[in-house]
Amino acid sequence: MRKPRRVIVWLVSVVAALALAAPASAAYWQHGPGWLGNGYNDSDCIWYYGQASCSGWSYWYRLQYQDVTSVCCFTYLLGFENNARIRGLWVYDYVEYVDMSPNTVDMSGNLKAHMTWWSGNGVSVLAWANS
Amino acid sequence: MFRTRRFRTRRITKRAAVFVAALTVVAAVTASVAIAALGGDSDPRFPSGPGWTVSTQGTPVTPAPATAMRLTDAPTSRELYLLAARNGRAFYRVGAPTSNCFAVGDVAAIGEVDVIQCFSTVIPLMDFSVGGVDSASPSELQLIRVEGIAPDNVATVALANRQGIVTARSSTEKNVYSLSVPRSSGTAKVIALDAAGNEVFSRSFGAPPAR
Repeated sequence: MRKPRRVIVWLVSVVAALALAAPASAAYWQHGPGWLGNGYNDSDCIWYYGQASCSGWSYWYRLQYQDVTSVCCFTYLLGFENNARIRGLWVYDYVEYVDMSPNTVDMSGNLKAHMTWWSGNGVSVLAWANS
Repeated sequence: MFRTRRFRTRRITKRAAVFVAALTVVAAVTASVAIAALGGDSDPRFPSGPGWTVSTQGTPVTPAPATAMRLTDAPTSRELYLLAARNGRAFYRVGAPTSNCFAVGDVAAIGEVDVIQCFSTVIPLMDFSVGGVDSASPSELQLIRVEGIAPDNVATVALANRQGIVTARSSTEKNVYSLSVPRSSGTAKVIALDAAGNEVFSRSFGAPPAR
């Protein structure tokens, strides 16, 4: 008679542990490889809706970029944003690869990762983030 | 029956040999393309030749566990070399010198990097500057940091405002530059100067896009 009760307690403990672990669960966001430029609409973006691609809210710890185009002459801002600010480092056509954390831009907490067209040609880009 | 089986075996062995040979050729071509890419093809937009390299070798550093994990994704080998520490920041070379990969982190945590960046070739300013916009002044670009790696021929790095007036400058040390950003300077571009004070390269940050 006591055994089922123990099983229930054990199950509740496991569910509770999983629920507590949920905030630390991995989230993933990716843009592309695909075109990004003036006219790209992403309602997830707070700051530059219409020329940026943005993740949802999460505790992102890593944002990466890989050059996937041979087209010249573009600038994007790659980084993180919240309602108060948008920050990033500039990615040019001669940048092959970037791996950055929110620390890079002195930000932390619940953020959106973004890649924002800044100037020049709109090209195919690949960026992804992990939390 | 036995002869047939042996004949088949020979045919299979011959096919396998051809397959392996073809695979070797493909691998060799892929490797040479990869090596060329890692070596950095020259880009006519940027100066090349003597002095347009990063000659500082740096000191080998053991990457922190999180950094070691990140290095596995970088398109180079996984060694980390400390080039210099300036303004509370630690500047690293990642992997082979030909890979043009560099990293920056906090000087208080040597071996732990915040950002890795790889360039297609040696650029006069391999820039790690960070900036953005905040809600208090959404039309004004704010630079948080101006820092990066520069080749031997770049002696000084300067900041200029929209009027072209130099607002800050700093000499490079061990191929590293790091400038304190003047507040409300309206910084518009970063300039690389050679030992004679000639501008060899500049990069405009541009204005924030209209919202």
